[in-house]
Amino acid sequence: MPLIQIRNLNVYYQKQQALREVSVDIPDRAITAVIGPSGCGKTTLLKSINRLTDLGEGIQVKGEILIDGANVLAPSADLLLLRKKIGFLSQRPFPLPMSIRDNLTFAPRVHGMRPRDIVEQIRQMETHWPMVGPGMVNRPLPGRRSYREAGLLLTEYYLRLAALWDEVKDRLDSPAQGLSVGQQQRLSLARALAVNPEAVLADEPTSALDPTSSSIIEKQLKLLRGRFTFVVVTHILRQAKRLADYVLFLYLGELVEHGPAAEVFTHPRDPRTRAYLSGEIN
Amino acid sequence: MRRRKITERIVQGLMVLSLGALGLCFLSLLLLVVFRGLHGLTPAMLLETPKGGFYLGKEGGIANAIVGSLLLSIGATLLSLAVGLPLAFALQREYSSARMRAATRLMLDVLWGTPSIVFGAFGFVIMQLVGLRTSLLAGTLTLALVILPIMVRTMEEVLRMIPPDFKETVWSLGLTRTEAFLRVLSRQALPGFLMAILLAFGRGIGDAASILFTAGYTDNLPSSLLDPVASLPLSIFFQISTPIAEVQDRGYASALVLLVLVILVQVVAFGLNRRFSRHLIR
Repeated sequence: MPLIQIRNLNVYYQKQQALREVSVDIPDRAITAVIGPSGCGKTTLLKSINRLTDLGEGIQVKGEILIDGANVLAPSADLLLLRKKIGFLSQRPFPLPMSIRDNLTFAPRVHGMRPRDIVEQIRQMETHWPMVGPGMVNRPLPGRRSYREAGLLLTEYYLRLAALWDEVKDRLDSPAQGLSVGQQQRLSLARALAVNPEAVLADEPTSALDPTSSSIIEKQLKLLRGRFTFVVVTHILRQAKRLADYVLFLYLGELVEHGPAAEVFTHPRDPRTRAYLSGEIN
Repeated sequence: MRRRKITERIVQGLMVLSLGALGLCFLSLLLLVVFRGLHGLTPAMLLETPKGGFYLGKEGGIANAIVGSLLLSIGATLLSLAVGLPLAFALQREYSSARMRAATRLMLDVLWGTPSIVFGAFGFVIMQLVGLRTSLLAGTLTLALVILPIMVRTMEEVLRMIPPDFKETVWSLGLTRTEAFLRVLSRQALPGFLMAILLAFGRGIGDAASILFTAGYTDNLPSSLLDPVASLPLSIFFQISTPIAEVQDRGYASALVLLVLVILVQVVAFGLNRRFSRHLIR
């Protein structure tokens, strides 16, 4: 069963309908790109999944979004658990108003993770999806009670996953606000991964970044897709082509077409998809 | 073209004029108080309470008023902070409906605009009802009511200024509303909160009308919450309204003390603000 299943999703802003009858399964451990012209409901779809739509006023979300088979749109849904399972990367990075290190350890601490849970989480990650390399795994792990050491391990591990460690390792205690925007976005990625989510939603994660930073983010997403499910909203078609394993094309609130990237990009079935891909609709 | 340039000049001229007027007012106020008050500002003035005949030019000081004013305004600030902080949070859309917020804001704005003598009269009526005499307690309670709207409205605006995307980011880490506000967003709001508190304190220490009926006036230092207390504004009033020039000068000395207190508070605020802004997201 796929982690994220969307069934008959309808979203209304006051009277206006932003999404109509969207139904789709998001493939696990892959990058799904949500594409479409601006105002077509891409971000709305994304924010419905982790219920950030709750924040807006006058937004009605109807239908079902199943995460691990449980409907998260139900009033009884556990939002904290949902958001722990599904991370989020916003358009503009927002570091928490604290040090770089605290940005990483804050959420795990709020979720009540003990030092040994942190150590276990990283060991699991490295055993099943070795990504950081032997240098990190073979190092003696900190004792079970030391929060500081476990926090440092967590910080180093996830900053490495986000390709930021080498740039900030000497100033972990300085304000995260001092980082460049590109670095802040990588910090946000590391922070989202540090709570060990199943999936990460990214809302145009590179639109505020310079080309170099964008390509680092893209590279890391590709590297991490074997472990996490990514849903990436993007208005850059070329980025979608570079990144996506699976594509959803939204147009005027309707899910026009979805399928494996190779298929959608080379043989789009719907004339509207063809028009969008060829640049006729924008 | 010429007309546009002339308009630009005129607008600039008006700005310079207003700035000059402000500077002139501030400087002349400062100079008046310093020149007339400085030589009356003896150690005895600060450290002694009024002796018999103080208001006719005999010995004594205004320690009663300094202590009274500090007690009243610090007490009122703490009290309205205790009530105001939850109120400021309640006025956010995460916690209350649009109608509720509008009604509460209206209420606070009306209270803000209410002359403080009305609060004084109101406090007096309540005191009579519950059998309380003019006292530090009654004065503090009434003064708290005067500064509450200032504090709440300012803090509430500060919270509202937090970018919605930043809130989304914090929520998406899996925090409850309250955790998000208390552990992250209030850090962001801290400098603003500080300003709100000091603004309220500044208003409180300078207010005379609300404590006129409620705190009373005395030449002694209070020994309990139920004793009447003196205050700087009333002390200034009593001294300057005598026909004796020497006593009037002491009145200006008292005004100088009040002014220095207010400036001191601002300086402290400035320092704290810089410290707290270290991690701020802009």
